[in-house]
Formats: sequence, structure tokens, C-alpha cells
Amino acid sequence: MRYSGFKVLTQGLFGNRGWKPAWRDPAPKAEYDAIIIGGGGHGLSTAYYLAKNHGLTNIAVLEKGYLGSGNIGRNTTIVRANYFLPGNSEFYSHSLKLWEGLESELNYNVMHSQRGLINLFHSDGQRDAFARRGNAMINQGDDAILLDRDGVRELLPYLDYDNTRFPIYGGLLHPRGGTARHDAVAWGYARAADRRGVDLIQNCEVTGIDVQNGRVTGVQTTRGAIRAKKVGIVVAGRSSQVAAMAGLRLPIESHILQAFVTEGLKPVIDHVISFGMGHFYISQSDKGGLVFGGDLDFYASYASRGNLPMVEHVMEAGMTLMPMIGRARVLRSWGGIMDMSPDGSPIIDRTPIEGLYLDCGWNYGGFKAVPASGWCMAHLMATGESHEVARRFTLNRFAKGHLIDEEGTGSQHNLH
Amino acid sequence: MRKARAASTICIDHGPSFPFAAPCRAVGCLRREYFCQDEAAGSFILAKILRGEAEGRGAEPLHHAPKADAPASAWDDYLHNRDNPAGVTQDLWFHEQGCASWLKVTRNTVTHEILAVEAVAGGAA
Ligand SMILES: Cc1cc2nc3c(=O)[nH]c(=O)nc-3n(C[C@H](O)[C@H](O)[C@H](O)COP(=O)(O)OP(=O)(O)OC[C@H]3O[C@@H](n4cnc5c(N)ncnc54)[C@H](O)[C@@H]3O)c2cc1C
Ligand SMILES: [Zn+2]
Repeated sequence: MRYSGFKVLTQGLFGNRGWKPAWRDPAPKAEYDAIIIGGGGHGLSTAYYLAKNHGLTNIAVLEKGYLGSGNIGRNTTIVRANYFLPGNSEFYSHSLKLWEGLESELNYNVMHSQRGLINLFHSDGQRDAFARRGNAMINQGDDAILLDRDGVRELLPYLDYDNTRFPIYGGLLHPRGGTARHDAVAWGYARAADRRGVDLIQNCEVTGIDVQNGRVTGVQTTRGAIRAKKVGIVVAGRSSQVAAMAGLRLPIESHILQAFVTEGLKPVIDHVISFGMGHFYISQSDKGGLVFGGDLDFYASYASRGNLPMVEHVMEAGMTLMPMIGRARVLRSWGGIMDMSPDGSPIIDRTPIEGLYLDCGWNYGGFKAVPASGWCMAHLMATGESHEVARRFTLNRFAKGHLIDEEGTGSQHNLH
Repeated sequence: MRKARAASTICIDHGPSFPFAAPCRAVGCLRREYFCQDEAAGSFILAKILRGEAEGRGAEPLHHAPKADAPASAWDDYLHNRDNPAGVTQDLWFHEQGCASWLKVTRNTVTHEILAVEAVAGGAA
């Protein structure tokens, strides 16, 4: 069924009785041409582009829980292309272009809202660094505007401009940056992949990877063995465990990132605001909730929940930046398991095992990457070659010293 | 937000190495506050992950740094790769904003339970 405004209208008139499930619930077949492990944003987009761009439709996505139960439904939904280093720059630029056509591509309303992203700076040195980043963004073909203090004040009059510890010197505005509804992205890709014949198999945990003579031959799951000559591992925070099933040890450490949302309020914050010095960022969802977060809890964890010191830190930073939010009541907080890499950049590559591919290392920036990651992972799995915009995201770049350390914090997983 | 839990009180400055001290008995410590173990973790800085004993290699030295003449692949593995266990792990913690102790913590990454804490030689604890 094609979704449209007209459909909503006619369904509304006739009691909404005609809607059908958005995807099938198939039983796993004994064999597929390709298997994707993980039904998060990246797994679903990989399946969609394998079918759409490469004509591979005898494929399955195996998800241990329900579609969208991982980080794809837990993130703070920021979509941007304001990276600096070669490797990241062209990849996220490509991703943002895919975002801009995503709703018509998927026939699904993902509520992509290019409301503008502002990164604040607080010193001359930081301003210079941001000016340089802005130039890199413009060179890449994306947009950036350097705002001075008055420029920021005009857009964000409610910030505290008298803060002496981190005085606001200005901000880097990325007008095409913004947000999208995260679970709609998972559902949109799921429905579009299903419509092209991809089997989306839920409650199907992969428990083993079969390898013979250095070649992958299939997987073991809680719903039986499934054969395939190509298998993609796309499981974000669980990458180490799943790769270990094939005997691989990854440059990944899993960490918790928390997020928070308040009760719904009238529109008050029009942009995405990032206060890097305070480890704080915020936007307002279309439902009205203030959505905000901060840094990692800093120690490796699989708990899917965070600890109170970071809660306190995030609240303090928020109050420091915009005291007006002090009366908003926080409704919920949660955490997601992040696949942190040593340089903060992702991996989309082959593994030493023939037919086994890896897509991981998304740190806390993998939501914006969902379209391009799927695009490039599909390209890799279908052709055996890295896609042009992802060719630096190799697994062996650490051994070779070709790190892509966007924040310049050094080779330590929890510092990115 | 700060509440004491009898079985797991820890000095905010001296950490789990004084788990049953009330108040903290470390020399010169002025802290009289207690955090539950989860909360205490936040006042420490995680320094460097050690490889887990879960692998069955028994007690291991704290630093697993390869010898200076080890091959590049050994350094690559040491610097970048991780066992990253979902379960029991060991890490080295630095009490940065307290007594500058180095602590070897055995803990569970799924439950956040702290199983053992040992002071590393040279620490104030
Ligand atoms: C609080 C928070 C805020 C964030 N904010 C942003 C942001 O503003 N912008 C941004 O770009 N990014 C953000 N991110 C990061 C982004 O959400 C992730 O990088 C991205 O979602 C990870 O890829 P994914 O969607 O495929 O992961 P997931 O949705 O986690 O998908 C992985 C899937 O694999 C499944 N799986 C695991 N093991 C197995 C197995 N053995 N068998 C079968 N299936 C398995 C899991 O159940 C899961 O569904 C944030 C993350 C968090 C937690
Ligand atoms: Zn101490």
C-alpha cells in the first residue's frame, strides 16, 4: 500500500479499517544469498540498498529482538554533515544528501527537519578551529555560517550570555543540519526493504557463525541454522560478541550514552544546539519534549542504563547554558550501548574471513550515518569493493596508522 | 539523589578500596559522604582497560604493554583491540579528583556490580 495524504484522508473517513501491517513476518528460509545480522538502522538500510541498488532480493535481516529495539530507537536524532577530516567529510556529506531525498525514496514520513545546528564556541582559539571546520564543510559542498556573539544572540536569545566560565563568543551554524524521527527511519527502511522481498526476521538471535576453510557458510540462530555465502555483521554495541563467533577480536569497546526527554512544551527551541565545552546538546522534538544529552559514562558497559553522576553533569550543563529550562520536568532517561572505536570513526570493511563483512564503530554518531552506511555496506557486500565515500573506513587502518581521529583525542575508545 | 546504601557505602574520595569505612579512614580524608557503588564510579576516571581474566589466563600483570622490541602487530593489538566482554572485566581506575590513587577494579559490565578492588602500588589508598 502506498502511503499518501489522500490515503490518510480516505482511511480517516472510513474508520481506518483498511491499514495493513507495514511488513510481513516470514519464517526463516534454509538459505539466502546474503544475511544481515542486526535489524537496527544500519542493518535495515543495508538490506534495502542491497535490494534496490544491487538487485539482491533473496536476503534476510536477522534481529534478536524487534526491529528498532537497539540504538536506532534510542538516539537523540541529530542529522548533520559537519565533519572535518577526509574520510568522514565525504561520507557524511553523501549521507545528508540521501537524507534529503529519503521520504520520497521510502514513501515514509521520517519527519526529517533541517532546522539548523549551532555549535557554540567560547574562545578565540575555538573560533579559529570552527572557522576552519566551516571552510572544510563548504569545500565538501555542504553549508556552514560562522556566527559572532550577536549572531547567536539573535537566533538563541535565551542562552546565558553572562556566563564567565564559558562566555559565548559565537557559533558555527550548519543550516542543513537538524533532526529526524528515529524509529520512523527504522520502520521506513524496514517497510521499503520488505516491499522489495527482503525477509525481516525478528526474535531471531544469531548464536554462531559457520566458517569452513576460511569462508563463511551461514549462521546458527535461535530459530535454526541458516545458510548464506555472504554475511554482514551490523550489530552496533554487540559487535565484539558477534565477531567473536567468527574468532575475530575487534578494535571496539562498548560504552553507555545516556539521553533525556522532558514533558511536552510549546515550541521554544527552534534549532539543535551543541555546547561542546559543557558536554551538552539539546533540541526540541516535534511532540514538544526537550531532548538532550551529554557524554559517555566513560567506563565500558552493557547495562543499557547510565549512572547518576552523568545525569547530574548533564543537568548542570543544561542549566548553565539555558537557565530557562530549569522548570521543565524530565520524563524519561535511558541509555544505549555504543560501539566505540579507537579513533571515533566507523568501520565498513571485509574481514579476514571470505564472505564475512563488518559495519560497526559508529560511536554516538551513527544515526545520521544510517542512509550512507547502508548504501556503502550494500555496495561492499554486493561487489566486494569498498564504496568510494567509505574507502577509508578500513579495519586495518589502526595497524597502518591511518586513524581518522576527528576530535584529536588519541587512540582511546572512551575519549571520542 | 545521593543516598547511602549500607552494604556498599564508599567514600566519595577514597572509593571502593574503603568499602566498609564509615567515615573513610584514609589518612587526611575529609570526606564524610557516601555513594552507592554505581554513583561512586562517576567520581573516578577510567584509565586504561586491561584484558579480562574471564579469558582464563588467571592473575595478570596490570599493564599488558608489549616489550619495546615486540612486533608492530603486538602494539596494534594492545592499543586498539579489546576483548570487550559483556560480563566480568578488569580495569585500572585513576582517582583523579581525589587522592590520585590507582585502583584495579574487577567488575561486571552488565550489572555494574563491583566484585573486587585492589590498590595499585604507589596509590594513596
Ligand atoms: C543516547 C544516544 C544518543 C545518540 N544520539 C545520536 C545523534 O544525535 N545522532 C547520531 O547520528 N547518532 C546518535 N546516536 C548513535 C546512533 O544511535 C547509533 O550509532 C546507531 O543507531 C547504531 O546503528 P544501528 O541503528 O544499526 O544500531 P542498533 O539499532 O543498536 O542495531 C543493532 C541491532 O543488532 C541486534 N543484534 C545484536 N546482537 C545480535 C545477534 N546476536 N543476533 C541478531 N541481532 C543482534 C540488536 O538487537 C539491534 O537491534 C546516539 C546513540 C545513543 C544511545
Ligand atoms: Zn581516594
